[in-house]
Amino acid sequence: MKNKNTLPVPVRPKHKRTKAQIRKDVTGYIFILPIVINLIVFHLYPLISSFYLSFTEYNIISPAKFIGWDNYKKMFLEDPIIWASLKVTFKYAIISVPLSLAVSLLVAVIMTYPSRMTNFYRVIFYIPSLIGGGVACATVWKMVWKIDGPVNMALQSMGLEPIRWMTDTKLALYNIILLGVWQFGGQMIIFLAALKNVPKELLEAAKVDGATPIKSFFKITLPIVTSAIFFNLINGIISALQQFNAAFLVTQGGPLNSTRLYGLYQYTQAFEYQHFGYASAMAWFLTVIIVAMTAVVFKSSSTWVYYQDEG
Amino acid sequence: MRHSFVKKAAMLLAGIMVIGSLAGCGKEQPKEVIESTPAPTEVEKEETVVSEPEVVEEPTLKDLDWDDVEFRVGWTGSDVQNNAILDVVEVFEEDYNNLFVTAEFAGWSQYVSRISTQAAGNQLPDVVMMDYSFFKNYDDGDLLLPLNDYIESGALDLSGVDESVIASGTLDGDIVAIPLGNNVPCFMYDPAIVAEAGVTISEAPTFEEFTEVAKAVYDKTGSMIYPATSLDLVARQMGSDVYAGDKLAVTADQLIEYYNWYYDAIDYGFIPDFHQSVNAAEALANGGYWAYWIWSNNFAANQATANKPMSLMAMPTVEGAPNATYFKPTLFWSVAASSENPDLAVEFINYYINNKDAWNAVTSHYGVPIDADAKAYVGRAMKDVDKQPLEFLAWLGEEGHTSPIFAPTPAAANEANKLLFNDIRDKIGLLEMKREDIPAAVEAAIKAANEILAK
Amino acid sequence: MKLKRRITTIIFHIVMITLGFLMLYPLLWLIGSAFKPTHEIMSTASELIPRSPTLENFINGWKGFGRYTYATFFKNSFLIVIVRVIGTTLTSAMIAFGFARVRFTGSKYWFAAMIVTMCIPGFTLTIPIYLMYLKVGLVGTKIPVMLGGWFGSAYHVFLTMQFMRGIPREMDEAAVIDGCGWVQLFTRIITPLIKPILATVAIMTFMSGWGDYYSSLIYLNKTKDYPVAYALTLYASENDINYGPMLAMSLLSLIPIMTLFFLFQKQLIDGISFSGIKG
Repeated sequence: MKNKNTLPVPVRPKHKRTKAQIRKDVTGYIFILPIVINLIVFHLYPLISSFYLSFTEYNIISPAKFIGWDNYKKMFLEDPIIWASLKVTFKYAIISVPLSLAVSLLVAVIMTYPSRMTNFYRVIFYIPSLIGGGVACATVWKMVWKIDGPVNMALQSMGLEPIRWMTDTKLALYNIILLGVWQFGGQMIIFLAALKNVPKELLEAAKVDGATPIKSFFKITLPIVTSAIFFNLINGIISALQQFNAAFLVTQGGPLNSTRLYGLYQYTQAFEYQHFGYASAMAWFLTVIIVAMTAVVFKSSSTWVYYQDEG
Repeated sequence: MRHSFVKKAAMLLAGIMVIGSLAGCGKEQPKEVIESTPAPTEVEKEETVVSEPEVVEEPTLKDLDWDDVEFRVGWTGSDVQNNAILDVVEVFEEDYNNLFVTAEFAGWSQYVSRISTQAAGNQLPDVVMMDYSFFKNYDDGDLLLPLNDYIESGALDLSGVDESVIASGTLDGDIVAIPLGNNVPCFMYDPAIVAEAGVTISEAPTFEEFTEVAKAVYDKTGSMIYPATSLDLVARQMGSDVYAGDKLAVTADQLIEYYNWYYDAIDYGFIPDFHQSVNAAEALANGGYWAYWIWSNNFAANQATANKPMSLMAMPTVEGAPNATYFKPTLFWSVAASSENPDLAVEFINYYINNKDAWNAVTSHYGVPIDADAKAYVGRAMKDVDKQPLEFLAWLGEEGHTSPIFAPTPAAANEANKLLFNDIRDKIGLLEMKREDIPAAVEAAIKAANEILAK
Repeated sequence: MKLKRRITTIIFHIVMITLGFLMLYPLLWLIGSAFKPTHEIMSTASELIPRSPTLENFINGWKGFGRYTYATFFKNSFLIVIVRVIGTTLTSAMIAFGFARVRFTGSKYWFAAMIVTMCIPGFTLTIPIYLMYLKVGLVGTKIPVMLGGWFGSAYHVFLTMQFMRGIPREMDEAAVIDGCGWVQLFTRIITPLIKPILATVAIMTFMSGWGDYYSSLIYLNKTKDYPVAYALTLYASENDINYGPMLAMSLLSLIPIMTLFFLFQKQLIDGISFSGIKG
């Protein structure tokens, strides 16, 4: 390794850019042009608008009325439901994100087991994600877990008591978490592609050296897939904190608001109570939280994420 | 730095757009309503030149050429309802040269999102469907066209329609919404099970009578009831509307009485607690429920699920109180204030109410037709099971078992209702509320609701 | 050794099949119910197999609305989704390349801005964006629905970047020494190597586009423009849901995506591995 201190470092005035750098800049911006347009047209303007709306009382149908800080005052000082729903949402995220990551990684690893059936199994595990999050999915899910549904019938046939999956205030949230985890297919696909990067020869060599599967998983496989873990983690956090569909379609926030996620409460404020301005303020608050958490994960990534292009 | 100029320009542009669009969120002036609107082009010009006093035919809308004119009708419904109105649209189009109606429809849960977004851009369809629960908001936003003049001139012929029905779509004297059909909240019940229990029940019972019968039926047969699921109905059963203007009208005592009743009913057994997860369709079919709350226009569908003869009874009312039952318009037709062709829009509504082809297409999918002739016509063509609700509504009106519908509720009603009703009822239903705690819960809810309403 | 191997294989299959059944049960319920007459669906909810199987839900459902059957709706879905897939895949590759490979001034800030957009709840942006489209006269057309992804989708760009970073930089440098310009580097070298992840992006975009009804709800007016996802929301009226046709058509709408996934996953998983340096 060259000692950086011995090489002469050319001194460049800060303002001057080399021709090469300018060419790089132009090239770079051309390549990312679509997202630049996207950010300015489809995000900057709407965001300013939405930010303005958060200072208004707006029921969409009539023009917005400016009310200053009232929405934010209400949010932080007068509305206990905001904090309750944040608590539920965080609980949801803290459990579902790691669980989903672990399950999808585990299944992906198991799928590398050489077998002709692998293709077939892969499809099966991906199907729940394909069903999507619509009314049909919610209907089916409710059918499966109701007090006399197939799951409880199976429990009863084993001599156990049926469980109140959806009507017990302590269990309903876990039921929704399960719904989210059940659709782990998306994360699994990404892990599967990442696992392709693990050189077979390394694993073979480790086996010859006497390493157990578990040991080689932790020492060889895991470090190589950290970039995929990082990706799934970031997206998992972002989507878990914004989760809405399951709470809306399956439980409507019940029983007794035990599944009233922040995203659901936002929707309720916007479309059922017609406080679109307040809902916008809620959205901004959540955005700040999510950005903060994401930034933390990004910052930490330099310590545990491995990229092959960094040599 | 390079980016700052771009960013500054973008922000300036964005700022202008924001202000411009928010200003544009307001109402656009409706176009002048002239008798023969020049918007579509005329197919022919007929001029009769006579020396005697002229008999000039006034060109009607049917003489005009509607090619290239955008005319939109928007509504919500199930697939059966959607197809019914699509049939109406198709026949309506035939009467007008080259008219193409853009038929827009959405499912119920998505409908409000859709029309409120359209409202934000002043893009409501020419004919737009409204519901009693939100049409006042749209009127407050000056988005609906008052139709009084059209009704007076006969362009919108409501001669066969009851005054009280027209009144339900009237706000501050402006008739802005025309009901598609009428509905009542009621109980569908199985007379066979009642007979089996050895009791009788009148078709317009008091609340006390209803409770006695429910207990007796449960004792003898184990069959349960499915009670009303909204605060409006619950309060009316107890003798009061929920709101009077912007304030609460229902009292703490009335709510406490209901919740005590509800608690006792679950305790007794004739209302299932939430943990039992009773499947309504199954219970209807096998006698798990003998009395089931419905809107009358769903009678046929529910009776099909039950697969046996069912009867109808009015909402039980506490002794001495005004009738809980009321006629509710299923949904309304309104004309958008921004419509460029209000005359045609009115003709569409007129067609829907008065034209035989329309009656054939819709029958009773949107409730009992409001026009007397339509009622008679549809009644003749229907199967017996479809006739039942028709006859039931007629009987209710004749015997005076209804009282007027409550006024449109204040904007904060949704929020207040959740505190006053859903939260408490769910707690009782989930067996998480003690009977002695009910009064305190009600008092607290009323206090919170008042605070919300005061804003 | 052979015995151990056989036992492992058997255990593997047992675990997979059990887990698979649990994962699949809801789908099986959907299939069974689609073939039951509507009034039986709820009352026999615990039985997977229909008592009186019927095709009526499919026949009635397929009829669609007015003059348009589900044939039209499927056509619209395919059109919209394919346009979106092309747009998203193209821009994902381009933008990811720009961020991951071209060290240009300010890239970090634009990248951060892009990530921030993922953190914003979408619904607050809906109305302002709708108003923008309204101003340029695009409301009522299919264009706002099809434009999704053509200006880059943060999630997919990010995903592509992660995989691009698995390609060692020595490859770039080697190519440059061989006389490659940026464009050639992008098209000849990088793109072929990221085919597997682009296939993933394509599948994911197809899936999410296939199920997206919200943009149709806001931007489409004419029945003949409706995609399947939107048509599926039209079975619920204020007071009840017409389960039969809804479940039947939901089932039908799953078939294209499942087929696509089955076909594509070979391409995706068995794609080229990152062995550039060795070769």
